[in-house]
Amino acid sequence: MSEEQQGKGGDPLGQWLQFWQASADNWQRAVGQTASNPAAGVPDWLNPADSWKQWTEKWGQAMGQAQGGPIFGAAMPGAAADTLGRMAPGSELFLQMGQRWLQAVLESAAKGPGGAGEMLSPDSLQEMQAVWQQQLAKFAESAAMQPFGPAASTWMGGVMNLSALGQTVGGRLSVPWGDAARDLGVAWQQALRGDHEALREFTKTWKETYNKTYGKLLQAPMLGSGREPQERLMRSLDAYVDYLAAIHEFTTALEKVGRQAGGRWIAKVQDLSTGGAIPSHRTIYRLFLSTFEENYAEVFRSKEYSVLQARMVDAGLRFKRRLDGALEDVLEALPVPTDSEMKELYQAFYELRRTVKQQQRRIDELERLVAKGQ
Amino acid sequence: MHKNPSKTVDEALHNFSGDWVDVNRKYLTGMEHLLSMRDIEVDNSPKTEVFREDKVRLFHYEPVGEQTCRVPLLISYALVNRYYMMDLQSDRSLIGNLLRGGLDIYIIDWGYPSKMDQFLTMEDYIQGYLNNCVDFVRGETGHDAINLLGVCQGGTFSTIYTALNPDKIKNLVCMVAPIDFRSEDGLLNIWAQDIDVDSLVDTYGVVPGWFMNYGFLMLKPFQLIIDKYVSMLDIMHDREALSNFVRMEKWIFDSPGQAGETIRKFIKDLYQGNKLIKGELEIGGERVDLKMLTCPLLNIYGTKDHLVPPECSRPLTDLVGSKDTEAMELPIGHIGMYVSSKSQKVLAPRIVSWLTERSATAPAPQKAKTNAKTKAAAKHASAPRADNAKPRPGSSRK
Repeated sequence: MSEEQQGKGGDPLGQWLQFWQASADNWQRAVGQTASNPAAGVPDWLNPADSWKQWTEKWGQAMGQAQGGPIFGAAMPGAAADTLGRMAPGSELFLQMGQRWLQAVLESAAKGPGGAGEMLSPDSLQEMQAVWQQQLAKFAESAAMQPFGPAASTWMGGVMNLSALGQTVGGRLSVPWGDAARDLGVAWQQALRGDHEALREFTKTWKETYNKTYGKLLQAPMLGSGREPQERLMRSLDAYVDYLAAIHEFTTALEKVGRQAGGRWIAKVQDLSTGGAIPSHRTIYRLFLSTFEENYAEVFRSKEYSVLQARMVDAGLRFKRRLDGALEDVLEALPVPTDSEMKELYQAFYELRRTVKQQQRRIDELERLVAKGQ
Repeated sequence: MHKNPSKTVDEALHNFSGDWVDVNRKYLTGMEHLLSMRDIEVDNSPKTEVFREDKVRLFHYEPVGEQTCRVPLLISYALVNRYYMMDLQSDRSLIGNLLRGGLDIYIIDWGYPSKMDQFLTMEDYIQGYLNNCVDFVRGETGHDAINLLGVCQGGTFSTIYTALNPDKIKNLVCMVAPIDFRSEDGLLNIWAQDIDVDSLVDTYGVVPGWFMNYGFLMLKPFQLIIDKYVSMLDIMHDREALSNFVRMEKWIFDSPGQAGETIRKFIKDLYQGNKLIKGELEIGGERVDLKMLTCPLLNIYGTKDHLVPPECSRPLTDLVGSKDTEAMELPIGHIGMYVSSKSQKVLAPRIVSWLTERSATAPAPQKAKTNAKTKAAAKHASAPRADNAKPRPGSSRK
């Protein structure tokens, strides 16, 4: 090792620190220079493509200056600058795609009725998606793609088609939620203010949307050697969600009755309190019982309640059946009999016992006949 | 205890405070009682197990005093709760009062069905177990026809049985038995219309007792889930009253599961199809015609019954082919029928006199026909008292 090299390499830690100090300085300069770059209609911080381009240039320069150092210079002369030089256009390509997306967001926000505040509405999101695809189409034909040749344009077009298809498939899960978002939000807000019909409506809308989206996903056929148990597991999960929704619907209905009964109870207590008399706590309690019992009995007699209760029970039973099925898949691997296997045994035993009893009765009858000498 | 209105807030608070202290004193005294309670004694009248088939057992009560009724009485209780409701406590025991009235009583304990019993059908219960118990009593006592008392669902079974086997029953007493399942007041009748019983049975095999209890509690949720225990606070200091409460509590939640195939048919054909009164019910391929029930009938029901509303029981009196029928309407509820002081004073004496009058003309019993197998059952009888234990495993007919 030469003296020069020794001099440069005599304090590796110091040089390492100097390198990072120089890098940080360059980073600051890069940021400082790019931050002041105005772009029409787009705030500086939302225009990363230009910033990134400038930053990579500055960074490349900084690395170029650092090339003579012991780390990059000696070990990989020129590698850092070359690598960065190759990375920059590639990253720029993706950044331009990002910029197109941002442009789409801003354009659709500008078109929307509420401006940026409505950006997350289902309509705005769909609008953004459409604009983005248009922007991408332009990009695919743009000069930015030319250095990569026609094959890249074809590939880009393919990607775009796949993206649209993926959007359609993914949209099956997300679009109904987007469509229902406004109704769900309104219903939930009303429910929070004590509107029980709204709470019921919320559950109903939620369940309908679930049925259109994740419910379908859980009910979709599974693939592969484990498809049967997987399907049972998915079905049990779906049944569980269904059960929870049924319980919610049931308890919401009961809660509504409770609120009505509560109102009537308070009114009765107030009636008793006229003239300044204060009813005893026992009287108030008795009134509570009789009022609530009467109100609930009235509802319990209705067909609507009967159907609601039956639906909840049935949802619970369906969940149990499916969960039992999924559990049996697990139990099959263990040295224990499953419920289904035992059921077969019980049935065989029942039929056997019945046959034995029938034959016993015949034998008894024959014995009686023999005893009578017939 | 302050039930009258107060004139001032001070007075109201004073009353409330006094009551609060009083209730808490009762509660703490009651806790002392609960902590010192051991076994909850029910089913006090001495009896002997005389016959067993699978999980079903037949008991014979020790007679009390002179037997004034010549024909023995077989009691068939419901499957959904335990038979000892009729002998819950010695001072309020329908069985005790019937025994003191001079009846010779047998009672069926249907047992606790396990999953192994899920395939048992109504036919198995009615033409199998019930018929074999009837045959046993007939053989044991030498009577060709015996008296049958069916309670609640056991009353429905007894009615069906008597219609199918009219020669074996001398007199039929039905207590709070659902026969006409069409009811606009009975919540169970209303709810049963929408229950998917196939789903229920296919899921559980044996429908659990807690599931049935859920339905019963929902009939009067505030009374049965809240007020019952709030009111208990007022009687907790009284050891005897508390013991009675705990006994009732034990009975209410001592709920056997229901054999799936039986309850499937019971709900589908009776609650939903109302086939018994339509003459469409079939048991073991045999159609049940209530007109074939020609023996004397005593039809007892409560006007305040919320489980089996009176309109479900009342029609039986006119639907049967009997010429000697009597309806007995009591202003009490379902549970009160067994334990209320009113029923103790009126019900048992009427059953005794009604049966005794109609049994007087019975032919003298033939020589007991019980075969060796049924004798063996008597020989292997279980302990004669306080049969609280669940049935032993095994299903041999001893």
